[in-house]
Order: sequence, then C-alpha cells, then structure tokens
Amino acid sequence: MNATTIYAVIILYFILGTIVALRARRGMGRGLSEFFLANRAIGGIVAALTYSATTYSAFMLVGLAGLTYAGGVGALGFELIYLSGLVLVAFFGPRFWLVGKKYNYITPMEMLADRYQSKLLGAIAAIAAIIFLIPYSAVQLVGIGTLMGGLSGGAIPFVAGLIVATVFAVSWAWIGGMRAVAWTDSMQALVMLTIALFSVVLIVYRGFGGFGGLFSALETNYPQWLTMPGPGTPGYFNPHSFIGLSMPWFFFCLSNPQVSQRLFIPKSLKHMRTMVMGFMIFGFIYTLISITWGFSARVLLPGLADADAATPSLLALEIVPKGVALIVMLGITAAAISTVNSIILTLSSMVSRDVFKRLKPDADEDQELMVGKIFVPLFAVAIFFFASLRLGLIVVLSVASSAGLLVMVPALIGTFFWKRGTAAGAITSILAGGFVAFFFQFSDIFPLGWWPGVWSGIIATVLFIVVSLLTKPPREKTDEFFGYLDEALKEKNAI
Amino acid sequence: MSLDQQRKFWVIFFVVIVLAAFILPYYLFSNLPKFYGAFLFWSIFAIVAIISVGIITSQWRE
Repeated sequence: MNATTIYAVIILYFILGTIVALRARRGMGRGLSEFFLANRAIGGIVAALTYSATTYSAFMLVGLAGLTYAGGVGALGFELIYLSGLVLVAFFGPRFWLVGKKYNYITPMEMLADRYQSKLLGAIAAIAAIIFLIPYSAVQLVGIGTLMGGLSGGAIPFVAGLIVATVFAVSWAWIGGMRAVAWTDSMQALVMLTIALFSVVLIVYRGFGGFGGLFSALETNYPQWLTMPGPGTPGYFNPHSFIGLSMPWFFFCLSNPQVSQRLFIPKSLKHMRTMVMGFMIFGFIYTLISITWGFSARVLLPGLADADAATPSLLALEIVPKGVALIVMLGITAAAISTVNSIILTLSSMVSRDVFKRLKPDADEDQELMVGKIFVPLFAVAIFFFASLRLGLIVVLSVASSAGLLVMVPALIGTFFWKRGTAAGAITSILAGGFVAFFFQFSDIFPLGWWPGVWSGIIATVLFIVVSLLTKPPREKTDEFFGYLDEALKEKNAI
Repeated sequence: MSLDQQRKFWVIFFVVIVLAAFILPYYLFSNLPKFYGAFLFWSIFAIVAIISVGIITSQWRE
C-alpha cells in the first residue's frame, strides 16, 4: 500500500481526534483535579470506554493473536482470567472513589502516602511505576512503527511511525488533560471494537465460510491448539507459564496506576457501575475477536517463524482487501495511542503530586499543575527516545512491568483491609519485589520453574506482612481512615 | 445478610471460581480438542464473573 494513502488516513484521524479533544476541553475549569481527573465528573459510558481503551493496547490484536497462534486456547484462558480481575473493583472501586473524593487524592500513590503517613512511600511507588511504564509504552510505539513500515512495504520509515504515534499521544493529553483523553479514548475504543469486529467476521467468512468452518479446521488440523496445555512439550501453556502470565495480570486493575486512577473519575457510584460493566462486556467481546484472529492465522498461515507476525501476515493475505488492512492498522494504532496517552497523563500527575510536591512542600496548586503539564511532553519524548533505541532492555522491562507493578498490590490491599500495615512494610515490599521482578526477568532466572511475577508477588506480600508487624502503624490516621470508610460504605451499601 | 457476611460470601465465591479457571482445564480438557472444551469453559467463566459483578454493583446506592 502506498505511503501517501496511509499518511492521508492518519492525518484525517488526527484531525478528527483533535476536534474531539478541543470540544472536550470546553467548560474545563482550573486546577489539578480538573486537568488530571476531569473534576471527578466523568459519566458512566465515557468512563467505560476510556477504561477499555486505556487497558487494551496494541497487545490484543498483535500480541494476544500471536500468543493464540503459538499456544492455542490457553491464550483465551489467560486473557479472560485477566478480565475477571475486574471482580476486584467490586470491592476496591467504592473505597478508592470514596476516599479519593474525601481526601482529594489525585493519584493512587498519593493515597498510599497519606494512608501510611509517608510521602517517601508515595515518591518511591511513583518512581517504580515510571520505571516500568515508560518501556511498556515504548513497546507500543515500536509496534506502530513496525506496523506502518510493514504495511507500506518500507516506504514509511520506522522513525516516522514513532513520530506519528508520539504526536498523537502527547497532543490530545496536552490539549485538555483527562477530559480530552477520556473523550478521545472513547472515540478510539469505538474505532478499535468496530474495526476489529468487522475485519474478523470478514476473515472468518472469506477464509472458512463461517465460525463453524474455522473450528472444524482447528479440530481436524490443529487439535492440540484447542486443549490444555497446548502444543509442544511440556505444553506451551504448562502450569508454570500459564500462572506466571495470568497471575500478575489478574491484579492489573489495582497494580497499574493509569487504570486504578480511573477509579477516581466517575461522577457517582452509579456511573462507576456502568464503567465496570461496560468495560467487562467490551473486554469479553474484544478478547474473543483477538483470539479468533489468532486461530484464523494458525489455519491460514501455518508456517510462520515468528508468532507476533501473525497479524501483519494475515493482513497481507489476498482474502483481506487493502482498504480493510489499512483500517485494521488504524484500529491497532488507536489501541496503542489510547493506552500511551493515558499512561503519560498518569505519570505526569504522579511527578507533580508525588515527587515535585515532596521536593517542594510549599508549592501551590498552580505550580504543581505547571510541572504536571511540562511532564506530558517530556514523558512523550522519553518514550519516543526509548522506542527509537530498540534496546533489548526495553522488552525486558516491558515484560517485567506486570511483575514489577504487582508489588504495589499488598500495600493497596493493606490500605483498605489491614490496619497493621505500615509505610516501612509497603516501602520494603515495593523495593524488594520490584528488584526481584527486574533481576529475574533480566537474568532469565525462573527459580523452581516459576516466573518472575509469581516470585515478586510472593516476596512483596511476605515482606509487607513481616516488616509491618515489626514496625508501628500510624494509629491516628488509620483509625480516622477506616472509621470514615466504614460509615461511608454502609451508606452506599457497598461490600 | 450483613455487608460483612456478603463480603465474605463473594470473596469465597470468587476465590473458588478463579482457582477453577486456573486448574480445571488441565484435567477436563487435555484430551478434548473441541469448541465446547476449554474455549466454552473459559467463556462461561467470564460470563459468570460479569454477572457476579453486576449483582454486587447493582446494590450500590447513590
């Protein structure tokens, strides 16, 4: 496909997104809560769509399809266990929302810092999140650069793809903060789902005559891809790899700050309910689409050396019209951009609230907001820089991100459910757990066969409990925090 | 049921179904290469999780 057509579609898409962002900015007030949380006034449908677009990145149609291509139905189990992690929002959602509103928390790290009475804890948690999320974002941009290059037959250079993605990610976040991100995310979520649904139906009917044809082809030619642990010995999804992949992601709605920050933004608990239910239904459909995409590639393109090439190779087949391939690329780009710009906004809010405010305690809100806004383009440049280097380390850190961010979970559970938790316990668990996740991933060490995410989770939990029991909790704050929550939860009838 | 009892019930319920989602496919579907094997099992698991969250959140008050 020629580069001019691709550029034209991308420019049109950018103009459309910018119009949405500018409209979203209308009526925007001043202040941190307004810029980073849309003044906690996002309606349920938009909240559901921004939650979906933020959570589902280019990984779905590229990585998950590749995982299905290589390992079969276990990829569906992994992704649906990940989706079922949203049951945690039934317990944590009202708690986040209530304390966020009462204490005016902007970031989840700020909540940790206040609950455990330690600004150092907030800063450490924020820096740990930055270390893991910048490489994770860089991988998204690498995906876009590679995809555009592949689709144009090399006419669009890799760096040009990166620049396009970076400009998209930074512009809308900078124009209108969370309001613009939430509304452009909503647009992109609809683009992602519509395009993916249309294209997968097209491929299944053109390639197999329907879904029955696809499954009978799998049952006949690739039966192992429909069983556990899948193809190979001891099986692609043996218990070690399946649990190692799924366990850290089960907790993503708590461990990933760009996702957990969204628990602060709904207008009310009724809107939060719409957000959670909308996301789960969106996620279920999008997961089935991505898995079907991977299965289709397995049957139509059996000999690929690199499973991650399943989607680009599928798009190059004769049965896929060129126009469809182009809009699928747009859908994947939308998935990546909507994840990256949310991460950039969250990381910027953490720098202004959890790091800058700690370094300069007398800073007023305008100064904090200015720092946050400055860091939006700075993070975008950092992510672009990381992506353009194409270092192996980026992949290591990106893969380690789920294991590394998992170490936040014990402290977050303690925030709401354990009065004995202490800042020392939380800091120790985050630092030691994060180090274990990175070291095991970097060194490719899997003790007893278990993956880094399993070990970082176990070590962080044990350290949080042991160190907390050896140190003193902030009694006064704890009693006040739990006392308020008990009353508020009763009033809202939330479990 | 008090809120406390409800919370305990749902925690136990979710622990059981998530553990089942991790463990059962290895025993039930290692020799069942069919659409109605692991594929359908996990799809039903996700639908049960979605309905459960719907039931819990429907009780939230404004």
